[in-house]
Amino acid sequence: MPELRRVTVGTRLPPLSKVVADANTDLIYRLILPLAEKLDSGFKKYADGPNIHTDDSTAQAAGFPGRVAPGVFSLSFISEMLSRFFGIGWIAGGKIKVNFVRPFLIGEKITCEAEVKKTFSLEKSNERYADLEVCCKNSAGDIITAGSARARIQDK
Amino acid sequence: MGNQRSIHVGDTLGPFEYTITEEMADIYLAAIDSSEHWLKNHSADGRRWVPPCFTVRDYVYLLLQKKAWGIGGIHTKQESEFFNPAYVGQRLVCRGKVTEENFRKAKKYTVIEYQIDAADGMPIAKHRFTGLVFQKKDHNDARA
Repeated sequence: MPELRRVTVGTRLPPLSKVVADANTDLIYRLILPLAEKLDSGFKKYADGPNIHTDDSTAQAAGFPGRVAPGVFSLSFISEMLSRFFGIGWIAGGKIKVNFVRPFLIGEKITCEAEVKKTFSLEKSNERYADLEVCCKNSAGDIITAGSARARIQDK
Repeated sequence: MGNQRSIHVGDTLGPFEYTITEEMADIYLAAIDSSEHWLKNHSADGRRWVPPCFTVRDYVYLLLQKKAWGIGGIHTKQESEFFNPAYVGQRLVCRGKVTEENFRKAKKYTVIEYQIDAADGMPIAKHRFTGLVFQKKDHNDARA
């Protein structure tokens, strides 16, 4: 757990890098499938069939260079980076707003980054917050997800 | 997926309820390729918390319940606010509403605002999804 009292404008969080593999996408389908099938019995047919996440030719027909990772993965990774740094101040009290700027491909390494842009305290509660710029980049350095986040700064 | 419905501004979604199981937590953590030590460090109440973004995908259930999921979609923006950690064994209630439709380059971007509460009323998270929700015809158009 970092020394949160030292968080100030310009603080950069430790970056987090991950690769989304086919197995990760499969697991998201496995997670959704049981409830989804109860709600709509046709879901499995879609999930098992070719789509932009599982099939190169379907992805290319839709204008992508290859199988695309679901954008929400990058949000989950940014959230993990913020959780590791801010702890409960992110898990209960965090907010985030991101644009999925460009797709990233299955197998591509992405890196999440964040920098504190502002800190402030609430008068009523005396709680301290950090406003951050957050992003995810692909291995070429292109931004794939970008936005802002707010976390409460709370030492354990 | 037969009998697909389109969704429009003002449509309400849910409520939809489910209970977070151990298996769901395990699969989610494996899917995001994450160990949960960074959560365990903070779970002082002895409960097994799930990561904050666990409920982001719940819009899919809301659309499926409305028979409006079609054949997928493209997520373009997401806003989320996290109030309390959700945990294994907790029953969650999801409710949402279609709040905007924007057309750009002949594509319809749908905005869905949805909130996740515990069954006892404790707020868990509030989300705002923006994206394309494909019906079968839309998907063919997107490929053209």
